[in-house]
Amino acid sequence: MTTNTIAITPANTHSRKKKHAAFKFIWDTLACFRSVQLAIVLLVLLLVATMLGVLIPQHGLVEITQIKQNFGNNYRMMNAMGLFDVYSSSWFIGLEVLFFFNMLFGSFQWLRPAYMAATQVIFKTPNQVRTAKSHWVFSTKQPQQICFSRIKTLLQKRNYRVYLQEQPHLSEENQTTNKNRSYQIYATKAPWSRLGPVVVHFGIVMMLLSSVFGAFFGFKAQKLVSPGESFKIEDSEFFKANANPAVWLGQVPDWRIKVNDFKIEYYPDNTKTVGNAPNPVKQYYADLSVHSPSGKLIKQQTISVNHPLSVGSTVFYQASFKPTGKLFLSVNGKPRPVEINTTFMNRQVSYTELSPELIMLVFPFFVQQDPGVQKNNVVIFLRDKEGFVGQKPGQMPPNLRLAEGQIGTLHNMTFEYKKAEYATGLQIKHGPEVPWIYTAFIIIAIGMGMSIFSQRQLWITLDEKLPEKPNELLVLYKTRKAKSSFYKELKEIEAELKNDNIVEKSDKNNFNPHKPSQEAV
Amino acid sequence: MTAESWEQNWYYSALFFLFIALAFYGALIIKPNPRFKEGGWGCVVLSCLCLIASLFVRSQNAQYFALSNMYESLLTVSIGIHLAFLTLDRWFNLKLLGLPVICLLLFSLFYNLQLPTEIHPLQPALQSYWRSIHVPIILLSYALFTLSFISAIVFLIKDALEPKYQPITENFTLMLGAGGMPERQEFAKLYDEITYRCIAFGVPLLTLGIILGGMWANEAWGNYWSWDPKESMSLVTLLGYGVYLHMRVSESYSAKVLAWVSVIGFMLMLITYFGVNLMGVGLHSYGKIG
Ligand code: HEM
Repeated sequence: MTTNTIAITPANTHSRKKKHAAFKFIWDTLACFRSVQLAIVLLVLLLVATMLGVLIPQHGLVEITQIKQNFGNNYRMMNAMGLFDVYSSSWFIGLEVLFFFNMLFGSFQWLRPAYMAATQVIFKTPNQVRTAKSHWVFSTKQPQQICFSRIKTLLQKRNYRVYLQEQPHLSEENQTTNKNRSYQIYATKAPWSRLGPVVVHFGIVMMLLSSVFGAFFGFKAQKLVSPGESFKIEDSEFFKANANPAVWLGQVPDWRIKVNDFKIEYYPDNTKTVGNAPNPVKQYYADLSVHSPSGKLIKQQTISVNHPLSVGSTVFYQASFKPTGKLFLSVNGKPRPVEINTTFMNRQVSYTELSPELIMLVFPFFVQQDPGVQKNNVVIFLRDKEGFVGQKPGQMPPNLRLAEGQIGTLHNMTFEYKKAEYATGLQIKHGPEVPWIYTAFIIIAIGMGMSIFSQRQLWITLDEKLPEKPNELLVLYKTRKAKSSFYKELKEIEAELKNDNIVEKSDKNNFNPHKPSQEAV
Repeated sequence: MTAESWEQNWYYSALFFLFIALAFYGALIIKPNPRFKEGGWGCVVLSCLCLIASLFVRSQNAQYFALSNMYESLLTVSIGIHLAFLTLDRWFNLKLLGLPVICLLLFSLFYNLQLPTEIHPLQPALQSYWRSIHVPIILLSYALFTLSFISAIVFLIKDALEPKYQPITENFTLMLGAGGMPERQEFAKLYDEITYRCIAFGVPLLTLGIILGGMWANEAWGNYWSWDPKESMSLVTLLGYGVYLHMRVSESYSAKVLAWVSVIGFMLMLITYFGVNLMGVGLHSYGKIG
């Protein structure tokens, strides 16, 4: 870790000293925001908080009455602590803010060293290598030039980027050898991986900022619309700005949206289903057209689940459907649409006068609403002034049960149940932040991919001894992660060097990363 | 023969090969003979191919990529564990990991057999190409976390049992290679590193999977994040492994502490994978058992 030390010379004035002190104070205060230790603590806290939201039933997922029942007297206190709305509670958001600053400052601090490690080419002299902790010494009889060109090709074959430098000797001990040049190698693999974490953290910062942006400008709405009807977003049954209305800065588009058509598609009748469940819905479609206030068509599209319509940042989703209460029937071949307009013995029914003397009662049953119903159907009764037509005392009055598409007769009249009308449940979302969030997602994913790799660095130099003694080949190796794989590669390199007689085969100084070097200080 | 019976035949063949692999890897622990290793590895390859074939036949039969219930999901995780293990075993040339991995595979594949296996039509929300990207990526990360867990356990057991500085012959490359006898420390480091490598690969995959899930949810429901229990719990898992990675880069914790943290991470993953389904609330109720 780099520390910022500010050199203050006696020449500095008093006020400058004070300025420095203030700066240092701010810097030091921020320092606690930068530490990885704090990141670990915050990550653990966030983890625990997020998990609380999973374990404790949350408002919106579980009925309030049920939560109240489960928690009894503790409900009020726990509710005040935000335990039933963990993710929107002030302490959770506070934690996220802390997390944000930790990451912001943490990433800035790590950017420089990571960038340096990734881009800088630094050579090391024999003495520098010798005093480093993880190094490795071999004796060699080969002349420098052969030795280094061989090492260079060997490393390049292993995908290292190799920098070779020829340098006049400066160190004292070598002056006795009368040699005045030496070779030094710096080799590195996957240096860009060092930037991975920075990229990840930048992506997370961007994601958090984008979601704040979305909170100030985005909204959500829900609207149930029958085919043929049109609506404006502001008339939705449910409308929620993503932030408190007092600070919300967004605008609601003033388009008029018309639902031209809606239809449900079922799987074929013989489809295998769980238990004896009704015919499953395969997909449902609503044809929408969006018009400007002046009536100009902006966009028309049929939407279905997973295939929404978007106009700019506003998106219309097919979210659900619901019977409108309108039933398409025909009586004696003539279309006779009816509506559910009253209740009879606690059931929703349609009460229609077919003629001044004859009344039709239609009891609808819907797959999605009534248990045990395999297919939408209706039960039709007829009433006249005396009561149910044809009723015998103590018996169920004569009736006709028709599934969708069926025809039947009752009291010498033919009835056909064509279909029930459904309204489409639309979810409307305005999310100007979405492209930014997606960009942040991609950045995070790329950074994560980069972080998988681990940078490997090698510094190799040759220490030339007096002519009668073998020279020393010094290798300094460094990696921060994935050490075993690196050591395995170094072992292989050692074997190759011995094979090529670059290093003495009989050399007792085997590469052993876990034995502290005798020479190490 | 019907498609269903082919699906079963491939599945049982995989079990058969796994049993042979079990024998090979068991023998390897008693006698470190490279031939046992080759045999075991080869059997795992065959078992993996059989499972892929089984899933393929099933998908053909269902007419969609069969990854929509617990049975299919566990089958896919098992394939992922096969692939990850095969790679690791080649890469690090291991002796000890094979036996526990194969035991776990056998256990989960037998457990899987008693889950309902009927093929059902897909509900509207699941009919999306996102499903075939989002789910396998997450399941592959689960496979890697499973291996990281096994490797952490091997590390912890060995760490507790082995007397210090006894020469060990764990890694074949190191044993047969040019070097001398590696020391115990090296062995410990090796399993520590395998745990790390699995997590280092698993975390990006899980992140990508969650991100793709967010994109899918945005497409299907208009919300990239809705704090649904499964989503929240997958974030918890990610945070858990995030803690592991940061503890590791801070270089101030021992390998033993890190191994325990990875074990906790795996527990969180199990809650995400099985636990949330059992609770049965929220949007991700597709994965329900039964
Ligand atoms: C609280 C704020 C955070 C801080 C201060 C922080 C800090 C750090 C630091 C200092 C590193 C090491 C950098 C290096 O090796 O060059 C790091 C690595 C990393 N961080 Fe964070 N981090 C934070 C949050 C996160 C979060 C939320 C994630 C996402 C899960 C994340 C993902 C990563 C990854 C993937 C690495 C690379 C790990 C590796 O190299 O194995 N960080 N972080």
